Amino acid sequence: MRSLDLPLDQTAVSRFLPWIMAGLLYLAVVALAAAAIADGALQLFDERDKMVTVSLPTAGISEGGDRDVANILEVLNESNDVVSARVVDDDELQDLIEPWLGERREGEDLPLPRLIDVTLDPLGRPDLGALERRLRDVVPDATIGIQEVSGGRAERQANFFRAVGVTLGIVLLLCTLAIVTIITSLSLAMHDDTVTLLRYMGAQDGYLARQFERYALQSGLRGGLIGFFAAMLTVLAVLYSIQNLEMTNSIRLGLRPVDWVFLACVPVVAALLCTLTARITALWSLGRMA
Amino acid sequence: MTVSIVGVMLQLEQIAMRYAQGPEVLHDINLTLDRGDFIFLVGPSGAGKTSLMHIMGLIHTPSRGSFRIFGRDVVTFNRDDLSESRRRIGMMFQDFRLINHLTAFDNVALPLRIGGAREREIKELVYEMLEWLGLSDVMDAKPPSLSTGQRQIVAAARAAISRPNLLLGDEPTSNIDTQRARRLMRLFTELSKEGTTVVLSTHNDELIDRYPHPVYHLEKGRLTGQTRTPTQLAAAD
Repeated sequence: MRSLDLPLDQTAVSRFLPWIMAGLLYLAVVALAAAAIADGALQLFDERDKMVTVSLPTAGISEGGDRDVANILEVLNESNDVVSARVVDDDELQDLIEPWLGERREGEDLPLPRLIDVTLDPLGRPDLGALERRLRDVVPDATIGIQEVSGGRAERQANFFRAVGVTLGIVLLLCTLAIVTIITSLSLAMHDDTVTLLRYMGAQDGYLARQFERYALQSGLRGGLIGFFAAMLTVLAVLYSIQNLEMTNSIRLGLRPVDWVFLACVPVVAALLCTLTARITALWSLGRMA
Repeated sequence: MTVSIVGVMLQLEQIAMRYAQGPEVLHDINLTLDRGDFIFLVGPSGAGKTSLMHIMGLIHTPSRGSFRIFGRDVVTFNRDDLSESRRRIGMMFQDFRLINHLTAFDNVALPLRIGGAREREIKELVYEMLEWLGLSDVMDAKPPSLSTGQRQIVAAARAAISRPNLLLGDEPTSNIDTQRARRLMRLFTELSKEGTTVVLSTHNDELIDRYPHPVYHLEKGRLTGQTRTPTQLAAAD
């Protein structure tokens, strides 16, 4: 690639632009990734709020256990608030208790409750208390597992992180554009002699502005890619650490495919915005010069 | 802007020039040059040759008088007109004004790039020019690593590369050897034959004597007269 007419990559003011952009893009991508993870968690909370578990503690050991399960299913299927009900099979149950009780040994026959996963109507406002009473009319010790308390706190945290992440991401991107504006203006002033010479040779403002455009695009792409990859490493490391602390009742935190696409677009969009900003700043400044 | 390049190339009438609030450095300059004219501008140091060249090159604005170039009065120029007219002028500055971080190749290529020429065409033209002027070995060198004479030739090549309608050379051969000076003059002469109006300011009597072009004398900011070369005078006798 041929040199720019103006030595923008050699002057103190503009030579560090790629690294400044790398740093700001790193922070912006990390912030937006946190927002995306929080958004994904909220989506899962939403879905989980619509799922409860009916537990029949003694159905696993009593002779009428299968009949109890069938009666409960009948009550659930009659309820307008219930979209579907599914009995958790033995194997799935074993997987759930294995972290606490270990693998089932040959001949071991532990009395386990019978569980039914119930999906509620997402548009409805179910009265879980009333539903539980109707279930107990059929099976006295039936309970509905509700996770409102811990879910509520986690939801508030997720909302907070999403709002902060998005705000921080936008602010950092705006800071990047502001820095491009400042550096472009300063560079024009520093290279006044060369700009004047080019004008004497007939260069129009558009030609001169393209010098800054090209440099901003090069810096933006270079810095953006560095910042993006560094941010991704950070995010992956944090996600890996979080997943190692996960409890079975917790939500699995992570980035959805759409989040990866969105984050990958951030450095490209940032570079294009920086290019546009450099052009507008240069044209405006050149228009004011004699 | 429609540019007329037939007939009168530039016309200066009662031109005067002052810098800031200082005294006039040029007084009542009257000069008309046609397409293809080739003149020398001579005078002692401080006579105003560079100031006059800068007015003709649309670098400075005269403080009074009328200046028409390419068939139009410069007071009617907007920014675009000014840029377009400047692109039709090749200016060789006395201090060269090369861009130090660009190679000799890129310096010479500048007018073509500013004019929007394609890179392929630029490559061909610049290679040809620098090779003809004996600078093919230093095409990739930057001005700080070139000798004064080499820088002067690069500056001349840059002024001539786009075959401008008007070529202005401020002391174009002051730092180069005779052989290269003749090459340069041959280049300017060829351009003049093709219709470029050439104005060279010089102190070099040998140059003036060798090339029989009109000589305009500038003294204390005034054009005091026009003479022919000694050879022309001798031929006339």
